[in-house]
Amino acid sequence: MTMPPMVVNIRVVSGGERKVRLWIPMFLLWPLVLVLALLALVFTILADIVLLLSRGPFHHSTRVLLAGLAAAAETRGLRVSIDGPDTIVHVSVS
Amino acid sequence: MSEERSRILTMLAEGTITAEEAGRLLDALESRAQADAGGAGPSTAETAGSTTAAGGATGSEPETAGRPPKYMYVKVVSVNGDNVDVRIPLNLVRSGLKLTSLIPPQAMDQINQSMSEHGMSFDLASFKPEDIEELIMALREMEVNVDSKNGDNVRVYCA
Repeated sequence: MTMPPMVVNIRVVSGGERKVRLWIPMFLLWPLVLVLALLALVFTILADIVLLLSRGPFHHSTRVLLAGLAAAAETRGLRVSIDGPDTIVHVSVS
Repeated sequence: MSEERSRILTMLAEGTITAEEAGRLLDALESRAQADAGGAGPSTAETAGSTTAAGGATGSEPETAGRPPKYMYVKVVSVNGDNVDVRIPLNLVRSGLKLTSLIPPQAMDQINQSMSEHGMSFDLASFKPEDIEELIMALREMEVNVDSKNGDNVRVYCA
């Protein structure tokens, strides 16, 4: 099982001046995301049951929510570096 | 002197590129040589203005032969100084491919039809989890290397 990302670093330099420097502590946000996901899970399960019983066309919203969370957790290790003559953009998820 | 280094110096002598651009290209060449020496990348064939897709793990080390690749790397070295370096975790690709099983049937039919119109007769609905693993293992042996006439270099590989 992969550890979810703990920190997101964003750095943007334009015209030789540092424009943006963000350090986002994802390890503090994950508990909040978990709480919101649990609340959303309750609604999606109810929606899926209602749609399944009424033979609705799409009743996989719970799976979509869980798959989306899994995909977000797998972004650990993503790194994007763009070095231009005037602009530098670095994003790393670790 | 390697062929690529000689080509870069020739372009500098002809005035096609500036000294700064030649320096960047030489640095990119060195880092690529170090990555090839230290990593498990397959052998590459590079010609000006051509695209190659290498098959076969002729350059892979024994200890990495059975290990699936972890990242996909996309590296662009441009003569104009626009360099791009992207590293994508292949677990993210796995998660994305698994999401295809959640696409509604009507949308899936439209997607398959559109793909077949563009020459890719591929049924996304029949994609199984074991196919994903096989695809990712095959990506370990894939490398795309593009050298353009103006000196830009694009490299895509998995390791």
